[in-house]
Amino acid sequence: MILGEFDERGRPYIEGRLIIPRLRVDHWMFFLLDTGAERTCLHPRDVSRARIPLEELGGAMQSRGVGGLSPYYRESALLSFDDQLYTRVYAIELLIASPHEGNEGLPSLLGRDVINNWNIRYDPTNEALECVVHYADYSLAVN
Amino acid sequence: MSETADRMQDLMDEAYVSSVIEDLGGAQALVDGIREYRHIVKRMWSERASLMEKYPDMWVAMGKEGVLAIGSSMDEVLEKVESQGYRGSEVVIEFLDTDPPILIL
Repeated sequence: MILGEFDERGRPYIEGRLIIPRLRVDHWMFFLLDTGAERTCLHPRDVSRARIPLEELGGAMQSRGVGGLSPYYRESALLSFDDQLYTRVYAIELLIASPHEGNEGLPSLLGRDVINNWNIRYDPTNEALECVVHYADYSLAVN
Repeated sequence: MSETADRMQDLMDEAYVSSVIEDLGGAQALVDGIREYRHIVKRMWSERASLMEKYPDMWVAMGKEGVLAIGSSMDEVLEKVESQGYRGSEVVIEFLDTDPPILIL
């Protein structure tokens, strides 16, 4: 299973590796697990850390959240996760946030495009965040 | 699978994905990297309270060796990290927020 954890504020996180082949981005990161997010998205802190060139992004769109409308770009990406005996890989259309004052400190979100493929045990009391994979686009055995 | 997922899979077929993964060192290397990063994340969380006492409302970067940089902005910390030969992708960068907002996403 894929293991996540809760930070000291009780927020559930999963580590993964983001690969954007077109932009030669290879980025380790942690995502906030968010069943309210329809899509997985990258927010400005990770965009900066990965040195993603915003000027090379296309597919501008807007998403609606509790803070109102927010601009994003769309990019083909691979997300991989440690499932102990396997590396699980998902080919997704990643949303990359255009930075603005309202999204500056937000964590990047792992949305339902990925997590709907998992059966998740969510148990903060026992510090257990365990994801059993039902489906992955690619499953690569680890030696 | 959703229509979007179908389209992504058309764009990134198995041979293409395999070649990308191999270029990054293979499946084992991917997992090793995630495990190493997870260790850094946990270290950051375990040290966050003490770091916040020392460096309130500052940005901090942590790598596998420990704290790598402190600064007043994300950009400053990232530049310090990169000047030491690290990639931003390899480190955890956090704001030591003494009054963190409640997130409703």
